[in-house]
Amino acid sequence: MVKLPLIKTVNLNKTYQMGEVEVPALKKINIELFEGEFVVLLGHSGCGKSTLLNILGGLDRPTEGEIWFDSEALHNFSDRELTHFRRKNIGFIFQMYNLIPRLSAMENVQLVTEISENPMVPERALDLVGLKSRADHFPSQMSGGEQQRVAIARAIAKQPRMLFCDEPTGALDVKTGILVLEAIQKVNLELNTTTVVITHNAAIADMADRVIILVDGQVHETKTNDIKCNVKELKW
Amino acid sequence: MVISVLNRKLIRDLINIKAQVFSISLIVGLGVAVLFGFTSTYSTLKMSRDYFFKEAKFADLFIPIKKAPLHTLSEIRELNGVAKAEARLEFDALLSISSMKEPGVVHFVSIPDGQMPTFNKIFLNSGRLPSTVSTDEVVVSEGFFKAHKLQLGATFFATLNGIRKKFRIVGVGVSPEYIIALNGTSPFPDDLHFVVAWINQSVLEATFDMRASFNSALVKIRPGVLEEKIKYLLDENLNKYGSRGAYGRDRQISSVFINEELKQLQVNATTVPLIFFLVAAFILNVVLSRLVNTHRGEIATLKALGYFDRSIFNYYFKIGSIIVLSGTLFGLVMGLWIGHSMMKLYAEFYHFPLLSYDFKFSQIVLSFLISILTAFVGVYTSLKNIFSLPPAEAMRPSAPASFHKGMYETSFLFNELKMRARMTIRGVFTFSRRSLMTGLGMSLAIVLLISGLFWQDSINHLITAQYSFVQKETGSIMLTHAIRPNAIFEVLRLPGILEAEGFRNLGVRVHFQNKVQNTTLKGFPENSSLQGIINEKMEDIQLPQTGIFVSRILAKQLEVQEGDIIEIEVLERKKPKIKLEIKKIVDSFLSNELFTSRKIISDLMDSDDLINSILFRSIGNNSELYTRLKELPSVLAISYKDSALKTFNETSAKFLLVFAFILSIFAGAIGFGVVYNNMRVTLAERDWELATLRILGFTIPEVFLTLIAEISFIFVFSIPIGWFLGLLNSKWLISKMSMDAFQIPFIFNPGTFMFSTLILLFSGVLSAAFIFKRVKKMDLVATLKSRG
Repeated sequence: MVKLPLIKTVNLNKTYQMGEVEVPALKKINIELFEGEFVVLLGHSGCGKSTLLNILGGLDRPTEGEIWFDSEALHNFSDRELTHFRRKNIGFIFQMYNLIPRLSAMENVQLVTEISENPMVPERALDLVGLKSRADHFPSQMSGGEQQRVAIARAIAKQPRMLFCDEPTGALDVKTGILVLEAIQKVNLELNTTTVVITHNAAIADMADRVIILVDGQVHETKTNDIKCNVKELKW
Repeated sequence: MVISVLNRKLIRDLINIKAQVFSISLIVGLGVAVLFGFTSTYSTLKMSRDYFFKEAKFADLFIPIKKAPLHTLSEIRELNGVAKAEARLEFDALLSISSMKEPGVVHFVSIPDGQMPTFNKIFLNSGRLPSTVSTDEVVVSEGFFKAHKLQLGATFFATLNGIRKKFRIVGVGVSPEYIIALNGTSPFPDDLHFVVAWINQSVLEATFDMRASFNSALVKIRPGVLEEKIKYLLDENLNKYGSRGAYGRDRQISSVFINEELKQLQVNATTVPLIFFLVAAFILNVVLSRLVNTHRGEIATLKALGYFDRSIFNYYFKIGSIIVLSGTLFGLVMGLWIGHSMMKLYAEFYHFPLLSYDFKFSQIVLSFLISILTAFVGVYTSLKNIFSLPPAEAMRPSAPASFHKGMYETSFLFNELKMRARMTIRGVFTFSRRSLMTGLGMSLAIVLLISGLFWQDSINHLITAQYSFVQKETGSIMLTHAIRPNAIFEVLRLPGILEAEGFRNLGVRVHFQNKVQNTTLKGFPENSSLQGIINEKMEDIQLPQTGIFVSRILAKQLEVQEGDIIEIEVLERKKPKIKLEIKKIVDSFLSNELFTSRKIISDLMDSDDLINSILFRSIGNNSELYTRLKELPSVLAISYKDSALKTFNETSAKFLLVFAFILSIFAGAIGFGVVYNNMRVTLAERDWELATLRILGFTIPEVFLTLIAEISFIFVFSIPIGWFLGLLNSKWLISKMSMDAFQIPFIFNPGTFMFSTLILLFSGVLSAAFIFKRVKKMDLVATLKSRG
C-alpha cells in the first residue's frame, strides 16, 4: 500500500520584495512529510529553513506553487482558514520560547487547551516534559531550558498533527539542549506527532528519520537515517 | 541650512509617532484654549467692570427709604466714615410702548435736573441728558433700546401715580447699577420688558409729591472704614424715615451677577485646564516612555560615545516641546475664538461701556510656560530610569516585566477565569501605575462633562420647581399701595382672566440672635392655588395657622432651624415687631423670603385685610387684557412669567447646545487621547505576545479582544469613579457659586451621567477601530523576527 504524505509541497517558491530588489528565499521546493515522521531540516543561516517552516505551518504564504495538507490546498486558504488550520493541527516551538510572560507554566498550556477540540490534560503535557512540579511558576521565574520545555508542553497539549520546532536549542547550552531534544523525541515517539526540527547544528540530524538539507533556498539533499540515534548518543 | 543628524532623527521619530503627536497636541491645545480663552475673558470682563465701577463712581452703599426729608442727607454726610452721599428718587411705573403689546416695567431714576449724578454716573452711548427744563425727556438703558430697535426721539408711555404720561428718549446709556436688566421680580434678565429711565429729579418730585424729599440714597465710604459699621449707623439714623436697610455691593443685584460670573470664570479657568494638562503630561509620559524604551540601545550607545545625560534629555525634551508647543499654538488660536465668542454672549446679558475682547501678553506667556512644564514633567518622568542605568546594561533589551500571582488570585472566582482574562487582570495590576493613570484620565473626561452639564440639570429643576409648582400664575400685578381685596373682583372681570388672588407683601427686617436680614414677608390668601409652597420633594405644603415659613436660603443666612423663634420688624408705617415660630423651612430657590397668611399680616399691622399684589391666571390672546391692564390706575407694574421664561429658555438653550458640544469635543479628545495612546503603546509592548497568540491559533478578533480587554477593564472601573468625582466636583462648584439671591440645587440627572459615559465610550470605540486595523495588519513573521 502506498503511504500518503501528511503534507506535501509542489514547486513551492517564495520571493521577498526588499525595497526595489526581489530576494528569492525558496526555489521550487518539493517535499513530502509523513504521519509520525521525525524530520530535521538542516542548513546554514539564511538558507530558507524558517521560511519553509513558516509556510508549512500556515504562518506565511508561498509566492508560487502548491502546498497540500491531507488533500486540502493550503495555498488557497484565507487568513481565517489558516488560523483554524494552525489552531487544530500545528504546534510551534521557537528559539525564544514565546511564552506569555503574564501566565504561569500551567496557564500557558491551558491557553491552548482552552481553544482546542481534543486537547490532552494540561498536567499530562507538563508531565511529558518533566515540569509538573514547576506548573505554578511564571516564565520570569524559570531557566531557558525550562521555558522551552513549557513551550513544548504548550505545543503538544492540543495533540497537533504536526510539531514544528524552529531552532529549539538555539538559545540553550548543550546540557539543557539535550533535555529539550529528549522531550521533543519523546513526544514524537509517544504521541506519533509528525515532527520537524530546523537547525543549523548537523549533530541533531542523527536523531531524525529523515534529513532534508537546504542550500540557497533549494533542497540540496534528502537523507534517510536507517538507525535513529537516541539524543544522548548525539555527538555535539 | 544643514540639519544635524540628531535633528533629522528627531523629525523621523516624530513622523513615526504622528498619530500620538496629534492626539497629545490636541489635548494640550484644548487645555491652552480653555486657559487662554477663560483667563482672557476673565481679565476683559474684570477690567470692564473695574473701569466702569471706578469711572462711573459706583456707590458703596445703597439705601432704599420710604420717604426722607432732604436735610437728612447732610446728617448722612456727617456720619463718621461717610465720604460722600447723594439722594435721589426711584419709582417703578407701568410701561407701554408701541413696539410691544404687553405692558412692561419702567424703573425711573432721578438725576439732578439736566446734570450727571455724582454717583452711578450714566455712560451715554448716544444722545444727551434731559435738558434742565424738560419734563418728558429721559435717557434709557441700552439693553431695552436695542431690544426694541428704537431710535432717539422715540416715545413711550408710563403710568406714574395713576397718571399716564408720554416720555421722549433723548439719550441711551449704561450705568454700573444696571449692567444686567433685572427688575427684582424675576430672576432672569429681560431687556424687552424692563427699562431704566433716567429723568430730571423735579419731574419725579412733582409727580410723586416728593418735594425736598428722597427715597433712595447712595453712599461712598471713606477708605479703611468698615462697611458694616456704616450700614448700622445709616439704619439707626434712617429707620424713622422707613429705611429698608442699607446694603452694599455684595447685595446689589448687578454687582452680584457680574461678580459671580467672574468667580465662575476664574474657577473654570483653573480647574478645567488643569485636567487637560495632567492628562497631557501623563500621555506624554506613556508615549515617550515607550519611545525611550525602543531607543534604549541607541541612548546607551550615545552615552557610551560620551554624550552627557543632559544632551539626551534635551533630545527628548525637544520632542516633547515640539508636541506641546504645536498644541499651544493651536490652543491660542482656539482660545482667541473662545474669548471672542464668550464676550459676544456676555454682551447680550451685560451692558458695559467697554466690552471689547482683549488679552494680555502675560496670558500667552503663561500658556507657553504651563505647556513647557507639561513637556518637562512628561519627559523627565520617562527618562529618569534610563539615566540611572550604566551604558552597558542599557544596551541590553530591558528585562520583561516580572509577573507574580497577586493577592486577588486567591479567590475562587479568579480560578474560574479563562487564561486571556487572567492575562488581562494581571496586566492591569502589574502595570498598576499606568492602569491607575489611564483610569484617572478616563474618569477626568467624565468629570469634565458632568461638571459642565449638571448646571443645566440644576437650572432646569429650579425652573420646573419654581414655575410649575411655586409660581402657577400667568402674571402678577404690583399695586401702587395696599388696597382692599375686593379689587380682585375688578381684575376677575378683565377679559381672559380665569383666576386671581391677592397677596400682601411687606418689607421686613428679621432678627435671630445676632443676625439680621432684610427680606420680604409674603402674606398668602387662604388656600392659594396660584402660589405654592413646596418641600424638597416638590410637594405642596399648607400654610400654618400660626407661625411662619422660611425659605431655605434665608434659613441658611440666619442659621435658623424649624422651631426657632425669630423676630420680625416691619419696615413700614409704625414698624411693628412680632416674634414668630418657624414652622417649616421650605424650598424656594429664587428668593430669601418669609411666608405666612394674610391674616397674620393684618393682625401684625393692626389693619384691615389688605393686598398690594394680585396674581392672575389667564387664557387666550391677551391683547385686550394688556390694553385694559395698562389703563388701571392702581397698577404699578405687571410681570409675566412666560415672557421672562421664554427669553431665558431661548438664551439658555443656545448656551447649553454650544456648551455641551464644546465639552463633548473636549471630553472626547481626552478620552481618545488616553485610550488610543494606551492601546497603541500596549500594542507596541505586547506585539510579540499577540503574534504568539495568533501563531497558537487565536483569530484576529480574539487577539484584538485580548488587547483591548485591559483598557476595557480599566474603562469599566473608571466610569463609577468618574461619576463619583463628577458628583463631588459639581457639588464643590455649586458651593463656590452659591449666591445670596438664589440657591442652585444639585440635581442628579442619570441622563447627564449616561451622556458623559457615552461620549467616553464613543472615543474608546473610535480608538479601538484604529487599533483593530493595526492588529489586522500585524505581520506575524516580522514581529517574531524582531525579537528573535
